[in-house]
Amino acid sequence: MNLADFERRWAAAIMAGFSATDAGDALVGDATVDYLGAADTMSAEGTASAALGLRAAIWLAAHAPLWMHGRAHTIDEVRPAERAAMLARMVSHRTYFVRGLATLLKMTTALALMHSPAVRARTHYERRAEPARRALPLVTSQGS
Amino acid sequence: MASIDDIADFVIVGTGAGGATAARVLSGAGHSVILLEEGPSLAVADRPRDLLGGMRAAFRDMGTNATIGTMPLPLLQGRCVGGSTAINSGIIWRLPDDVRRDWTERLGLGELVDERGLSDAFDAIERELGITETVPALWGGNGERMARGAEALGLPGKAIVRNAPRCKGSAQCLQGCPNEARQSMDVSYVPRSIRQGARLHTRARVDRVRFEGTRAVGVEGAVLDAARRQVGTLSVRARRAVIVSASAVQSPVVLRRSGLRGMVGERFMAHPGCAVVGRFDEPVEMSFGGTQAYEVPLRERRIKLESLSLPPEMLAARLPGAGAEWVERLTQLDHFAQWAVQCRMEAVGRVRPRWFGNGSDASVTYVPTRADMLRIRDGVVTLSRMMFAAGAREVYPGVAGLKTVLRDPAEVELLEASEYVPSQLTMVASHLFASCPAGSDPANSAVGPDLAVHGTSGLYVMDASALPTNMGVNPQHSIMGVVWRAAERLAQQELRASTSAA
Repeated sequence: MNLADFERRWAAAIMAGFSATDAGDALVGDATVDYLGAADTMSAEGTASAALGLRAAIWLAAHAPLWMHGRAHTIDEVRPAERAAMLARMVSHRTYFVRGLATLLKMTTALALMHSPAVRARTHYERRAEPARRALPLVTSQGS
Repeated sequence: MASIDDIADFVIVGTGAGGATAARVLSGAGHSVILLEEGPSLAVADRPRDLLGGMRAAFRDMGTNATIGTMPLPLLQGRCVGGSTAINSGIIWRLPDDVRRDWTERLGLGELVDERGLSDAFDAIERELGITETVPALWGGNGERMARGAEALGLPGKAIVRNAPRCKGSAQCLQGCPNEARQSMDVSYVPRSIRQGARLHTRARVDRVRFEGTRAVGVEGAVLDAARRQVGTLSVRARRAVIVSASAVQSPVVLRRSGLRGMVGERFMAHPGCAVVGRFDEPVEMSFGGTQAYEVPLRERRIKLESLSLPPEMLAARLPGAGAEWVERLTQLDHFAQWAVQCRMEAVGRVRPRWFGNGSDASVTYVPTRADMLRIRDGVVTLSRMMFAAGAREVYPGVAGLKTVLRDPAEVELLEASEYVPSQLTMVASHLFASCPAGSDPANSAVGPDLAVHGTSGLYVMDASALPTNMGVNPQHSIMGVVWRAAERLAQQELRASTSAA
C-alpha cells in the first residue's frame, strides 16, 4: 500500500512527534532516522490489515488537533511539544480503537528509531563495554 | 520460470520443531526425505541485529497477523528455515505428566505418549541438542532481579532450561543467536537431516495436498522470490507419505485448502501473555544474559511467569508516554527489567484459510474467556509485586484505563480491584496448539494416535497442531518428543512394509 505524498508528510511528522519537544529532540539529535522507511516496510511486509491499520492510524493522528481540540489543523502544523502531547493522549486513550492504532504508530516509530545506530547508542540499551584494561607499563631493567 | 519438481519417500511441509524432528528421524532411518520451507534459509551472519530488519527477514508478516475477536492478538511465528524455533528463546519443558495422563486416559493416545517411550525420545533430543539449565552467570540483570522478586514473595522460581548449551548471554534469540549457541532447527536438525540425505527446498510454499482417492501422493504450491511473489510452481511427489508440519496456524490451512474438514482447524488453543516493565535506579542491562533465563511456573494457577529480555524496539514501544517523558525513559533503557505472564487459556478458537489470501494466509478466530482474563490479572498483579520486591522504582503494568505508572507497592492493589477485558492489555500469542487435535475418536479429533489424518492414508500432521490440548508449558520440546515417537513408528512401519514387499 503506497502512501500519498501528503500522507507521507503526516506520517513523518507523527513519528518524529513521539520523541519531539519544543527544545528539540534529545534522542535523535543530528542522527538520521528513516521513519518512512519503517512505515513502508511495515506496510509492505505486514498483513493487508496491518497496512490498512497503519494508514488509518496516520489519518487519525494527523487529524488529532481537530477531533481532540476542535482546531482546523493537521498534526504537522502544530508545535512539536503539542504534537507529542496529543500522541501521548492517544496511546493511553480510553477507546481501544484510538489506543490500538496509536500503539501501532509507536511500535513503527520505535523500529525506525532503533534502526539508527546513533539513536540506539543514546538509549544505552546495549551493555556498556567493560573498561578497557590498560597495558601495564613495561619495566625495563637497566641491567638486562 | 523457476519450478520445483521432485520426489521422495516422505515430503515434509515445514522446517520447525515438528518438521525438522520428523526429518531427523526419517532420514536417520534411511528414508529419502524432502523438506519444504516457505521462508528463506538465513545464515546467522546475514540475520539483521535490529528488529526492523530481523522481523522482516524471519517473522511471518512481521508479526502483524493477528487473531479475530474482541481484540487482535498478534501471532508471533517464524517464517524461515527453523520456523519459530529460529525466533524463540529455546525454552525446554518436557510434556507435564498430568497432561500426558489426560491424553492417555481421555483421548486414547497411550501408545503415542507412552511414558517410557516418550521419556526415551526426550532423552535422545536432550542429548543431541545439549539441553541445559541456564547457569546464574547467564541470568543477566533481568533474570537476577526476577529471582530476587520471586524469593522475596516466596514463589517457586527456577532457572530456565534451554537448548543453548554454549550461550554467551547475547540476549538476541529473537534476531537469531549470533553465536549459533541456541540449537534451533536451522542449526541442528535441518543440517543434520541434510547430512543424512534429506533435500531442502526453501521459498517453497505448499498450497494443497494432492490425493489419488483418499491417498495423499504429494503436494502442490508455489515457488517464491525474495519479495514472496510467485515465480514458479511446485509439485513434489511422496512415495510413502506427506507430513504436514507447517504450524498450528498453517497446517490446518493447507489441509482445509486440500478439501479436508471435520476437526481440522476447529480447536485452536494458545498461551497468550503480556509483559510488566519495571524501572530500577541501578542499571539492569537487559542486553546481557539469556533472552529468557528465569521463570516462576504457577501451574495450579494456570500461569507461568518468565523473564523476557526483548530487543530495545519492543521495550521502547512498551514504555509509557510520548515527548519529553518518553525520551527521558528511552535514554535510560539499560535501567529497565521486563517480565511476562503466559496464561494456559481455556478459550478455544478456530483456524481457516483467509478468504482473500492465498497459500498459507490464515484467519484465526480466538476470544479469551472471563476466567482467562482473571488469570492474566493474577499474573500482572504478581509480576508487579515481584518488581517492587526486587527493588523497582516504577512499575508499568500495561493495563489501559488503570494507573500507567505505579510508584508505591500499595498501588498494586488498584490492579486487583477491577476485572480486565482483553482490549485493556497488549497481549501476544506465541504458543499455538491443537488446531488438528490428535485422538482416537474421529468425531473429536483430526488425526489419530499415529498422527495420521482421519479418513486418508499417507497423510500425517506432525507439529503443534496435533497436540490435542494446550499444556501450560513452552511447547517446543513436547512437539519434538511427540513427533519423534510418531516418526519412529512411521519409519519402522514403512521399513516393514518395504521388507515384506521385497
